[in-house]
Amino acid sequence: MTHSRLNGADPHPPLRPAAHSGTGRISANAGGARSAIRATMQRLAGAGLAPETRENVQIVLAEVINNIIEHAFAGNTAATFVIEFHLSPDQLQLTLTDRGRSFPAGRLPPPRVPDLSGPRATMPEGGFGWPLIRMLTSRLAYRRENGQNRLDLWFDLAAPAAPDPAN
Amino acid sequence: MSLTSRVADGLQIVTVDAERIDAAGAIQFKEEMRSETASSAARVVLDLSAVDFIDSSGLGAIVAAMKQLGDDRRLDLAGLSPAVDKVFRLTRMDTVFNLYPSLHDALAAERG
Repeated sequence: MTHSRLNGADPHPPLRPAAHSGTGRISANAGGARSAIRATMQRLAGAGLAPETRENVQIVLAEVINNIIEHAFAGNTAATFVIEFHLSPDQLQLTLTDRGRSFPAGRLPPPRVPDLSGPRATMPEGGFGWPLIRMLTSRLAYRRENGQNRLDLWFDLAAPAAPDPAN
Repeated sequence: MSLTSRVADGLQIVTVDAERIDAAGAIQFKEEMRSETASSAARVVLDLSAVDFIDSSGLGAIVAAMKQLGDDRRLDLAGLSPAVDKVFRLTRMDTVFNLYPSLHDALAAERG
C-alpha cells in the first residue's frame, strides 16, 4: 500500500488499505485547484494509470473542483475540501467531500448537453461541466449528510493498472 | 495567460502561450482575445499547440471569443492536443468550430 497526502495541509485520518490511495485537503480557490489536480495526476501516473484514463480523470477532476469552488463555496476562497482516491486493478474511485452548500434540491444537475443549434449570438458559454463529468465517468453518486457533500466518481479500467516504466 | 498574434493577408493567427485554459485563466483569456482580435481580419485562427488541457470554463471562454468577433468573422482552432480535442468533441463543439490538427493544416485549408 502506498498512502500519502496530496499536498502539505491539514492531517487527515488514514485510509483503509488499497492498492494505491491518497488523500489531501485542498484550498477552494484556483491555485489550490491547480496544485491539487497536478498532484493527483502525478500520483495516478506513478501508480500506473493508463494515459487515456488519466486524461479523462483530469477533465472530471477539474470540473468537479470548479463546481465546489463556484457553487458549494460560492467564492469563499478560504474554505477547504478533501479529495481521496482509491486505485484498484480494475477501478479508480475518486471521492470529494466539502462542507459547502448542497446541490439544489439535494440532487446532481441533469445530464443535459447545451443546445448548440441557435445563432452565434446565443451560443451557450457554460453548462458543459456536468455533461462532461457524466460522459467520462462509469458511475457517480452524491449524498448530503451531516452538513457535508460527498461525491463519489468511479472509472472502470479497461486494462489493469501496471507501473509505468516512465514514472 | 499569454497571447501573441500576427496578421497576414486578411488572416490573423493568435497563439496561446499557456499549457492550460481553465477556470483560473478563462476570464483573462477572454479579455486578451478581445483586445488581440480588435483588428478586422475576416478569419482568426487560434493556435492551441501549446495547450495540453482545457476545462469547460476554457471552452466557454473560446465560445465567448468567437461571439466577440460578431457574425461576419470566423474563429478556427488549430493544434488541438488529444485532451483538448476530446473536450471539443464530447460537447459537440466540433459542430461549431473548424478544428485542425495543426496550424499548418488550418493555413492549408485557407488556401484550398
